[in-house]
Amino acid sequence: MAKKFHLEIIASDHPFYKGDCESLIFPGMDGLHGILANHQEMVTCVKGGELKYKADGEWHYAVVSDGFVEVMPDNQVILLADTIENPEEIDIKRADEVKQRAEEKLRQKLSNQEYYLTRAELNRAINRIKAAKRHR
Amino acid sequence: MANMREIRSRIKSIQDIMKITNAMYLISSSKIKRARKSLAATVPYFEKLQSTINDILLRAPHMHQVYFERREEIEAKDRKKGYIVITADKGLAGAYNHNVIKKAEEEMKKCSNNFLFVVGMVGRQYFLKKGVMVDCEFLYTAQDPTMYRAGCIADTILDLFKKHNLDDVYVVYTKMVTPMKAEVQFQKILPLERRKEERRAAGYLHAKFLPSPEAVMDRLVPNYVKGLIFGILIEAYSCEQNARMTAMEAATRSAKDMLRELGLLYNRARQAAITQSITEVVSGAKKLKK
Repeated sequence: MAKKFHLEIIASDHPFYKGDCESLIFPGMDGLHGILANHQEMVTCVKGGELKYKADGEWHYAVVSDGFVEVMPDNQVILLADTIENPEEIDIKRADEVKQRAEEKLRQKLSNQEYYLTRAELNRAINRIKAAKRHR
Repeated sequence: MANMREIRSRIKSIQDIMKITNAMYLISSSKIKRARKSLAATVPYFEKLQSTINDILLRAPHMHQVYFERREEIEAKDRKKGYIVITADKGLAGAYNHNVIKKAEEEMKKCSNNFLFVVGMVGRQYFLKKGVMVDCEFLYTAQDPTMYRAGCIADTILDLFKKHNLDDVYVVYTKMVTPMKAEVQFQKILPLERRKEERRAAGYLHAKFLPSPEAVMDRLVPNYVKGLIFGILIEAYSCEQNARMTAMEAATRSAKDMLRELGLLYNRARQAAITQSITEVVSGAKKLKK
């Protein structure tokens, strides 16, 4: 029986998960991060992508956007992100549309800020499509 | 006794206004349902965000990072202070707008270098009329807050802060303490403060920041500010609807009271007029008999 820690995943528009968890893997700034019980105190950022956590011996998946993680000393982990979705909830068609729109926009001349916003949008769409397709 | 026609026209105008207040009451009571729902969904995030940031600031090691620059070399009177003021787009919300504006003005008196970023038309018009510097391109509505809008606001503010166009950033907004009680809040957003003494007092160790404290803060702070502003917008929006609902309810109720009183007056005036004309007719008839 693996050791457990308390995990809280909260999106800006709804609390996503709260409970015990054996392992958490999320996309960080420099690649995937894994967290097990009794991890050192740590603060780091989440990049948009796919995260997974093992609860009750089963892996659960979710698509996240930017956010951050804090590992607290009393075996507690908090993950806060702008949006978090279940792969099953994702509408591939809509994500595809968003992706195409973003790609089209990128072909035009954009200001710096617009460029980054559109890039971020495109990345989000691609992440969602990937995750949704993998868990169909 | 007041003129019958006068009373009738007053009754008519009160009835017309009551129609408006009643309609606004119904609109805001349906809007508040949605606002409350989104508030309830966001509150866990909002609270956790603040407590987590507090905790992170408690454990953060010393670092050279732009969002922590206190710029102490600038004297108090020369500091450029930015205020994000969150008001409603429309009036008729009781004291909601007034309270926020009053608080903002009170704080602005303390310093001469003020820059205002007003969300919502009411506050905007007010400050423009007063001739206060209001950022012209900062045009955001208070209706239906979205993460995207919060991101835009956060980007603008952080950019100005980084370019030294702002030295301190505050936000003035209304917070819902209980569903029936709202309170104006005044909160400092930037620069962030590490709480060294408190950490030492509590005996905490520095947490580890991966890959480096600066890199983490570079991404974390914009994310935090965005989340914070999102939460604040949601909170303010649901307060606004709540304030409008209670104000309009009260207005409708007092309109009903006035109508009742005027109805009495009107009937009295009508009866007096009838009595008078009867007396006139009778006395005229008596005169004829003689």
